Amino acid sequence: MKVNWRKINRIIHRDLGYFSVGMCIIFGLSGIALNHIGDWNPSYIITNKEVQVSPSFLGSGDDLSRDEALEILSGHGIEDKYRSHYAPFPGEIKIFIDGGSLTVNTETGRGRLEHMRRRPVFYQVNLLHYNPGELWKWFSDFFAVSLILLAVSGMFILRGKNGIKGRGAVLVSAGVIIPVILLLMYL
Amino acid sequence: MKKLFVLLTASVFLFACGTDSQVDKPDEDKKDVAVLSTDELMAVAEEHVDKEVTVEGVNLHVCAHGGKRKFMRTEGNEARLKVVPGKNTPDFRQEDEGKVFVVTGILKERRIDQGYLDNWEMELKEDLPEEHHIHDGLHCDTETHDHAELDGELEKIAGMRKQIEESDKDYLSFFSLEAKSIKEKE
Repeated sequence: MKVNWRKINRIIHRDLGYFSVGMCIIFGLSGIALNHIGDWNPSYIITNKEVQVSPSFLGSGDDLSRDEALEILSGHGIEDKYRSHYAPFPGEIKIFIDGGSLTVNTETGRGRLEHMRRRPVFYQVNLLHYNPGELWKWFSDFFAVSLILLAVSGMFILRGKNGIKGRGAVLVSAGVIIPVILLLMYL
Repeated sequence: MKKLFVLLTASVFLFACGTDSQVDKPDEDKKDVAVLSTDELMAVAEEHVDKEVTVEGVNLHVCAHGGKRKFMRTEGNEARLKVVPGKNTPDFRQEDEGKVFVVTGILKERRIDQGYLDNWEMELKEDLPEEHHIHDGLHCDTETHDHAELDGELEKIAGMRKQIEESDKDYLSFFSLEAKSIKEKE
């Protein structure tokens, strides 16, 4: 019996293609996000607000007590969000709260209230991109192998002038040559 | 279509069964483990190098780029401990800064001597443009240098040389914990 390789190739390409849609989007989005990690925080939206803390609250300076920290927060309408606090540098205290922090200069009372929230979609895709656990590692390995199979099988879907012997050859060559040129530039 | 659904479901179950879980073991397995505060651990760190320890402290800072480092300390104490995720622990999250964690892991020591500082200084003076490792163990792993940072780095090196001269050893030790399990304290 003659094996129809073309048909098998099409089936592999079709079904792996369908199955990989979700992962392609996850890695595509997180790939763009992480490519530009020097320009933004892809996982969190962080907003800052300048605040002024009354010097009367800062009498203890770097040795601020928990009660004093709670009073400072209360003065800025922040209740029941205190986590902990410490002095990262002499003359500065940082009070951690749920969803952010308040950093205050203990001499001038000038401070920065930072709010942090997860960036929708990007937080989740970045979390997955960074390999959150063993199950994900194997599943994404499977996806990586699938991508190789998709690439190879994709070259042999069409015959004729648009196939691998015509248009396909030009585009495949371009797609290989460009990264090689860039690699040589960076080496 | 039914066949496809059955095949996919079976694959998912097989896949799940054949993989180790990274979820923390129940508490009863850890009852007898002594939990040290970060300052208690740092006081006796040299005795615990390459050994498993369990430490509790406030999560002060998580490196923004991927959460590969975090720094913990005991409330009201200066000693800080760098924690790095292990093979089976997830990366750290910035949103967890300020929370108290109990971390079990292997304590690692990094020694910095005059020879190491000589090399570091030489690299800086050559003004290498590539990424350069930050050596003091208190910062995130890499930062790109520019000229403005050079003086600060040289000052840091001079400070370390002084610390070595003043200490009774000919090196400085920087400790970090390679996490095996991490649990937030309620």
